[in-house]
Amino acid sequence: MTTEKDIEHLDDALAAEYVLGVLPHAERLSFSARLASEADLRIKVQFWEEQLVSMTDSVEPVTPSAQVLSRIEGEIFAASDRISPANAPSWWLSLGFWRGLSMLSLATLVVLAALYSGALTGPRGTDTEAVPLYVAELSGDSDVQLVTVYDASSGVLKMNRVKGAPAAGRSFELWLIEGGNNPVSLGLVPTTVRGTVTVPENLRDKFADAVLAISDEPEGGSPTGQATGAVLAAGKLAAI
Amino acid sequence: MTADDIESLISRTALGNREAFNSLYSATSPKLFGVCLRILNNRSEAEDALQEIYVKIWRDSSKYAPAGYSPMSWLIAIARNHTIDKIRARKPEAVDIDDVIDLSDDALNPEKEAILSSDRRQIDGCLNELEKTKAEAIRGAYIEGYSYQELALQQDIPLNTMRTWLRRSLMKLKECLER
Repeated sequence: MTTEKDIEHLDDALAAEYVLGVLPHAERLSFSARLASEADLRIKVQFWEEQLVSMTDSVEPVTPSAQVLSRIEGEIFAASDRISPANAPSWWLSLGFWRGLSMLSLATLVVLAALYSGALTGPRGTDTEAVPLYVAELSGDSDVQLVTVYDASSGVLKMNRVKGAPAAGRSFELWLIEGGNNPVSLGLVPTTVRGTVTVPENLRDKFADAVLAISDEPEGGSPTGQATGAVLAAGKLAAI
Repeated sequence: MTADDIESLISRTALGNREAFNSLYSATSPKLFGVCLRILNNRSEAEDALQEIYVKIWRDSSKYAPAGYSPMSWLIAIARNHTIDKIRARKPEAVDIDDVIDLSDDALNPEKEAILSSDRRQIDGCLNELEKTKAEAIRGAYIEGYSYQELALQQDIPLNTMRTWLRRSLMKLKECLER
């Protein structure tokens, strides 16, 4: 039997492996997806980052060529109105705010999903059999935020991109991550703010206890079938 | 420049101050570039990575929480995470250890060097408590970005054995660090 203590130990080891950088790509991606939604895990990662960083004392500093700074400036200052961190109000910086928001928004999601579920069952009369619904709020270490509602009976995943949009020539790709398995692509996130994705039959029963994640990919999606870019947002699915 | 100075540059960068961002870049980019270069072993790839890293630092500067991280660990964590993501995402390649080029920069003055060097020496003591091969594997993974696959090849042991003993060593290391 797996006890809570075992999981704790496993997470300690995973956090160390993640910071060290040894995890294979798929495991690294599912771990970063969990990081986006699990504060305890972030604390473990931070422990290792702080402890191991002095190993870089042995790394010789090397001056990069001068063009690098001009390229950076070209990229950020040309678009600074769009991405300046100065646009972020002060509550943005407060961890307390985010903790509060996650709890509040989860509660809001539950209510929304209940309403949505009511709307679904409504036309069918007083159908008492619960429609399996899953909600997830995807957020993370980026400006991208999505709210999703998945209706297991129809395989329709609705999403609302609350914040963030792909850069020019890039696409957002949606992934389903079940336990330690490799992320499975659910296709591209629609370019509209609100959109739907129809989940393939074989994946429809994989949503319990899974995580949804969004990665930044070349236009049209990952060329390899596995995520190639950074995980921008992720969230655990909760059944309603 | 002290850790406090770097912290203040990060907070001013978070307010969109370009001058502060430029100072942050000149104070910290040689270290971050050195870190990327050791992992990627290719100057032009490392420069591309560095560009992406500083764009991320600019965007995320408002998320830096002084209570959580020392500023250099925060910056180095961003740089390492980005670089490791990059090498893990590409198809596994044969790594030629002899191919490592020495691009160290002798021109950096000692005063500049001092701010970047952390004063936590605890890790060295704790690594010394491990068997030499295990400490070397941990250093190799952290500094050179070796994957489990590469470490297993170097030690000539099966991948799973490698993972088991590295995990055990990491947990021993944790015990020592928390002492």
